[in-house]
Amino acid sequence: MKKLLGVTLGIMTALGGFVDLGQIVFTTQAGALFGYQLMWAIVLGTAAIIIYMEMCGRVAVVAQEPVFAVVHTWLGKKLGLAVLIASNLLNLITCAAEIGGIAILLHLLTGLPGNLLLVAATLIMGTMVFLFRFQWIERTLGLSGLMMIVFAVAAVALHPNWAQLTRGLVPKVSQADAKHTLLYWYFAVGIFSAMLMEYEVHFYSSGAMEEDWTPKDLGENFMVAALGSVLGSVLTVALLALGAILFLPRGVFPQILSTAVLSGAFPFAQNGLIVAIAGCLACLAGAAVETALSGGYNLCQFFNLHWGKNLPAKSVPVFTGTWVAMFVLAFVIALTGVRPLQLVNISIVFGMVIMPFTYYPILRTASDKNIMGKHVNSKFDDVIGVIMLVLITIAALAALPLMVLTHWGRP
Amino acid sequence: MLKAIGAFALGSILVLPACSRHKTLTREELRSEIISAKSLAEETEMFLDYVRQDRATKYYAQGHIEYLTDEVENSRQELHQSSPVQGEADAFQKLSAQFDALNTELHDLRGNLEDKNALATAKERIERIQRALDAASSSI
Repeated sequence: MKKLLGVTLGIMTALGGFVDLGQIVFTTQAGALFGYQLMWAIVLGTAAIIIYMEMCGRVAVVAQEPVFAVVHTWLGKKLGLAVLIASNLLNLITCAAEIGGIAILLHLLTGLPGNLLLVAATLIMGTMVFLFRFQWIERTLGLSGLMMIVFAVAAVALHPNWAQLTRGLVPKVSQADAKHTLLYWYFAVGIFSAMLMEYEVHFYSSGAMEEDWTPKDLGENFMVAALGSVLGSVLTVALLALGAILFLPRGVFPQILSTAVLSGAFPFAQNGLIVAIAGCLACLAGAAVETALSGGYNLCQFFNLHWGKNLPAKSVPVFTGTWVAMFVLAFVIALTGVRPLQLVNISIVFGMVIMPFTYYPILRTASDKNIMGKHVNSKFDDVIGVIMLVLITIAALAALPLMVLTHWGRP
Repeated sequence: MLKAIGAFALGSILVLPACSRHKTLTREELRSEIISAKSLAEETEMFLDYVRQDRATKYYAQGHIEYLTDEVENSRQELHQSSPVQGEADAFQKLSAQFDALNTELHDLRGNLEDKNALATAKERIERIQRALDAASSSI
């Protein structure tokens, strides 16, 4: 039972990580524009996140070094500090977007005023993180996120075109015209980026240490990383399919969260709609908690300070102060009325830009026999890791030009 | 390396606001605005069907129409702050008029979500808006 519940770390990381506000809307938009053509980006992103999530979990367990400790080691103090600042700024922006999204979903559920719900959502999440042990946070949010399965059921109930979906596994280099080609690649990079958001590995590697994993748990590490990511991937495919089935034929380009949510409930009655909203709520709450905690983890790991959700708050003042500050600042940003989807677009694009600086140190550490001993990467791990890192770097270089050329992916 | 990252960040900060200050709409941007308006109109129509079939909860229906209204209102305001390139004034005027009409429809709908006759009438009017947007699109 304990092992089974251990999978919730992977589920929460993946659901909060790549089925968050950005992915829900972004993938639905991709389906609405290109049908199933971007399936390959989801498959590629899933493979990359499984490989790197497993790697960072293994490094955390064997070397007792979470992500920002290895970033410090391999990038040095100055560049490492720049990556820390950029990563935590992105975590803050993402956290603000998720809190804004949560308020929208609560409004759709209760009809209460948005600002009141913003306050309530922040207070509830802050209290939950403060009171619950790490394992209970991941179990509560990971398991409640399973309600998102309603999106997969909805996609199947609407009879996707399986032949087209299979054909989508092969990239199409060019589209009808230059504008659509650029849009296609913008969404490909965006989906890939949203699946590899840095805070997933920040949270996952710290979570492995929070749960006191030992080298004996390495088999479980792979299972947790793979199962969580595959589940997240299936839901992402469902979102793409719903965009292709519901929105593409009608010429709808969904620009608001409530439209994307509707897609998951479309074949069902009111209860389906409530489950779809609740599932999204759990995923967004998972993402908000992951980003806030990652802020604290990253800072403490970089400066080698004590950290840990399961330690008394007073004994880890910097860690506690940082995640509380992340929530407070994110709340203030959300309160200004800035649109959550705008924030999340920024985090997806700029997250991609700094991604190589997070994944390179993980690969280097996992490949270092002196550090990892018999748990060092196999040749196969290294080859796949390098290929993925090259793809991440290409996507990082392409992200900003594509963003400018497509005006943030406007059709 | 740090300098490069700093320059890149500064460049991005300078480029981003510039991207959001489009005062003169090119033909391509005008076409993009029309696609957006048609999408919002179609989205509204789809939602009206969903509500008419009693599949939306009361709070979802009210909330969704608010968010749709906000989206249309934002696009409408952005459009009102812009002007078209030479030769596209006619399409621009048509688009602007249809955004106004869609905005009015959505505002009216907010108080009538439980009135099925009102929903049916609104659907017809939104279909007319879509036809007008199609005409604007083909005139570019």
